Amino acid sequence: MDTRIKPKSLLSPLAKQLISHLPGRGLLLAGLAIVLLFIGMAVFAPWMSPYDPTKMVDKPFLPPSLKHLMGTNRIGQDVFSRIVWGSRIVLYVVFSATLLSMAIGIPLGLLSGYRGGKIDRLLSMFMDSMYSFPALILAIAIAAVLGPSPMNTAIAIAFVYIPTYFRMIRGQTLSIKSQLFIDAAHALGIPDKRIMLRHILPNLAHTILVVFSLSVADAILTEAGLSFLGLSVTPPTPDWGYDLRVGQPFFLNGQWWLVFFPGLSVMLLAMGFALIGEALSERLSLAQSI
Amino acid sequence: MPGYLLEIRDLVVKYYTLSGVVRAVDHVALKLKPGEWLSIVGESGCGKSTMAYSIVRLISPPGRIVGGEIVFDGRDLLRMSRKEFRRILGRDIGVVFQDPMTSLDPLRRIGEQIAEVYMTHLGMKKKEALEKAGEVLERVGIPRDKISSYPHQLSGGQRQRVAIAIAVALKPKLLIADEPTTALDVIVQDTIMDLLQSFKKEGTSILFITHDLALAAERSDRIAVMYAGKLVEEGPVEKIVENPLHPYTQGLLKSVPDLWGPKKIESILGYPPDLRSPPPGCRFHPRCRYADDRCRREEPVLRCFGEHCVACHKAGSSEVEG
Amino acid sequence: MVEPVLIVKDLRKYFPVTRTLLDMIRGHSQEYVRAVDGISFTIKKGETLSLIGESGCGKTTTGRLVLRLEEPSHGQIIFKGRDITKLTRKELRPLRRHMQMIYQDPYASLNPRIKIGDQIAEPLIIHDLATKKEAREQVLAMLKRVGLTPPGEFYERLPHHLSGGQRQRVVIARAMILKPEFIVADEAVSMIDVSMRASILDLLESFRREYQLSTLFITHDIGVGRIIGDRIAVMYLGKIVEIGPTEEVINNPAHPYTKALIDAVPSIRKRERERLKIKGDIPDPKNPPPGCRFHTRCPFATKQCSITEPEPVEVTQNHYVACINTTL
Ligand SMILES: Nc1ncnc2c1ncn2[C@@H]1O[C@H](COP(=O)(O)OP(=O)(O)OP(=O)(O)O)[C@@H](O)[C@H]1O
Ligand SMILES: Nc1ncnc2c1ncn2[C@@H]1O[C@H](COP(=O)(O)OP(=O)(O)OP(=O)(O)O)[C@@H](O)[C@H]1O
Ligand SMILES: [Mg+2]
Ligand SMILES: [Mg+2]
Repeated sequence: MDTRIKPKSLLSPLAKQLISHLPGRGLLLAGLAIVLLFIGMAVFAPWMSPYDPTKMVDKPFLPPSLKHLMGTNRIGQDVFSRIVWGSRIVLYVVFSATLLSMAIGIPLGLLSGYRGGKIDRLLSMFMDSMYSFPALILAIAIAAVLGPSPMNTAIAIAFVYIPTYFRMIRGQTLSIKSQLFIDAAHALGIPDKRIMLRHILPNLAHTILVVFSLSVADAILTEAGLSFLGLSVTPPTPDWGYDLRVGQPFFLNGQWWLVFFPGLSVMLLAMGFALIGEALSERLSLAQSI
Repeated sequence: MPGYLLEIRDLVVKYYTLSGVVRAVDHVALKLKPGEWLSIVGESGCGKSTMAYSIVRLISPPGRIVGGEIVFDGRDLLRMSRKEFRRILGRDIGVVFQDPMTSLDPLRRIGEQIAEVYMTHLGMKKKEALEKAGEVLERVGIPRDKISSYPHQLSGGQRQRVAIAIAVALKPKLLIADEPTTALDVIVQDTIMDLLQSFKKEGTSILFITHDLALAAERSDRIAVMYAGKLVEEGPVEKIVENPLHPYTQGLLKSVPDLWGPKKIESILGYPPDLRSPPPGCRFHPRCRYADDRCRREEPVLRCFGEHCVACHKAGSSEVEG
Repeated sequence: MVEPVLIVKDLRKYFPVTRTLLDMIRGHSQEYVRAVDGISFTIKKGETLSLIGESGCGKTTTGRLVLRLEEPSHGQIIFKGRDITKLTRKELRPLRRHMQMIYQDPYASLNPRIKIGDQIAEPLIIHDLATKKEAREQVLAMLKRVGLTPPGEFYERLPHHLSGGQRQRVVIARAMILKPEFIVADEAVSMIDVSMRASILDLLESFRREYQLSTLFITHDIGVGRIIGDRIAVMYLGKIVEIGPTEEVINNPAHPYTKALIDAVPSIRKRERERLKIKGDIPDPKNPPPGCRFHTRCPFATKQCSITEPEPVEVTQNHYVACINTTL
């Protein structure tokens, strides 16, 4: 046997492209750092937060100090602890939502693009009409029907991004389907299902990764929007969007920390994912052209 | 001693890619006399186009002309100002590329595109220029009434004729053609070659680039064979095809099918090298059956036997016979 | 007398031309590209037929029709005595292992994301001809056979780590692993460097001997067609104008188009020669000229040529020509 064989996973060339020295590496690393920071926050919340985020722990409206790094809010809860615990809710909602929309959008897009014909026309029409709805309004409508709970918010958000995945995957499938190696697969007698799963899907990995990062970034804002409107969680659960709304009237009174920190968190986290997405899309298309 | 129209001296062109430096043209020298047809022959990726593009200064990043001189009509093209060069290009040097679609503007009528040459270089008025465009179209074998067609309304062969019309509109001293017939069928190719030959008869020198040795052999005065960025052999056609000195040229000749020759063709062993890390010594040595230690170590220089030059340590020895 | 592996009778393929809305409003009727317009031929066991002709004359379409990768508009395809013209995609699937395709573009016909070893093994697995482990052994042997050594190393590579010539070997290996009885090779060496063509052709030749393989070898290069073909068929605008034993057709071409085609091929041996030149371009396959399709470019055309469509006649043994002036 040849000893030089090194088994590699399917993703390994992709992984190699990601870590190779291409321009845009800085952006990617910055994005990753931000995202990992918040994920770490969510995971280690019980150890990181100095106080119980749902309890009144001090006088209300205390400005940031060493005791309360980000001050306290209207009812004397520690803002820092709420930010830390809030990251859990955001990430939970956003990841569930995105995974859900991927689980529905990707197979449907694949099927629609590959099969074409009636199924395709029907699905495309449906998805396009969904897509043309303003995202937040759609989410509000769904969330209002389902009632406020993190899982319901996730479902509402998932619906917003199903068409995004569907359209991207369908488009890519159409272009891959017309490539010669798919024709070659037919000529070899490979069944359709296998062609879709083994021959087309792996070629979508790049696209999926990019769309994933960008849609997560977007979903973070949508989630914040929903909870800002009170459609996500019920108090006293810590949640950035909810805190933003509750803190907002006091901003002009000079109690800026009530809005500043939740707002900053939302922005940073969304930016982190957006950076990753942008950097990935640039790097992958670049890496492919080399 | 006759003067040369074009003299390339020690040209070095590299592409600085992320995965390494490609030495696409590596110390190549060539000479072209007025009225002569010189063909550069070589396989895909050996640096033929890079060479042609260097002459017309079309090498763009990541590529860079690292060294050498390209003397045209007594002046170094690489060292003249942009403005001066512009004036020469199109008037004294015409260029035709493999894919006419890339050099023709798809949104403008072909007549206008030809007329533009007259307007910019000779300062003609549009009407007069269009008149001239009609003439040159007829000259390349396209009916004058096609003058207001768009490129996509023409066949591949006709498009290439239009590209040639633009290149020869001002009767340049030198016509550079980079695989102008590769995308075309043999019958069309034949007519395009006839056309090029007719310009040669009128005194235009031709630098013709092709991967098809037979095509070059039928039409040129001299052939230069390139391999992996190097010039390996150069000389009059008869010498190259009847008495090839370089083992690569010999192999190439045996690998070309010939309807008027034996049915059997032979391959050259192995694969061409990666120009990011070409083999040391003679670049052909991994595929050469005569290669010895010296070939693996020492790079051969071009040696000339009269008009016929070759870069091979073994050439001329009794071992390497065609 | 052995039954031919492939019999093709009066095969036609008309592609509908996409109409713009404007065309419909103007009431223009649906036009068709007559890519293949009534061709018939047979291929015997172990025989190679070279199909040559200029770009757009319908060679690729013919190859794809024969493998039923394209729906014929008319005609009959009989593979090993069985009429496969009307079989559905599903019914064709088990037959696919006996008929394979090799493509012109070795870059595009391999999946960029699958290890080449797995790509070669796949047909074995889906046709239930081997377990995963057996397939691996067979693939390694096949890689070695097509000259990709060390096979263990090539097995693990992705297509973009291979050169064009090496990829074409992979494509051939994938087609040959099923020991097919018939292959269509569409411009199989056109994108390969000249210096390596012979070795690819030799490889195909060695498989042909080993498997008694019948081949439809499509090429625009008569030189290559001559090397590999037992017989040559010359196509012009969707029709076969001349077909016969290779050397016979090349040495005694009976159709003016064949003659012009041969004369246009550059030669090192015979650089100066009389050439039959024809002018103009191939007419639009949407509305081919009436009568003999070649009459618009033919230097010998008579009035009759634009009226009567010539039928193939046998000029010498097994050498058929569709030209009413064959006595020329
Ligand atoms: N823009 C570029 N960036 C990087 N490498 C390049 C670029 N253009 C050409 N090369 C490399 O330079 C070498 C010479 O290329 P060139 O196009 O001159 O070859 P060629 O002989 O014209 O080949 P062909 O017959 O395929 O046209 C090749 O190895 C090629 O990969
Ligand atoms: N799917 C299609 N839809 C419409 N027209 C087609 C289709 N495929 C081929 N054609 C047309 O049919 C004709 C024959 O095409 P085909 O590809 O068979 O030619 P070919 O002889 O293989 O040419 P080449 O040498 O360029 O590969 C051409 O006019 C082409 O434009
Ligand atoms: Mg080139
Ligand atoms: Mg074709």
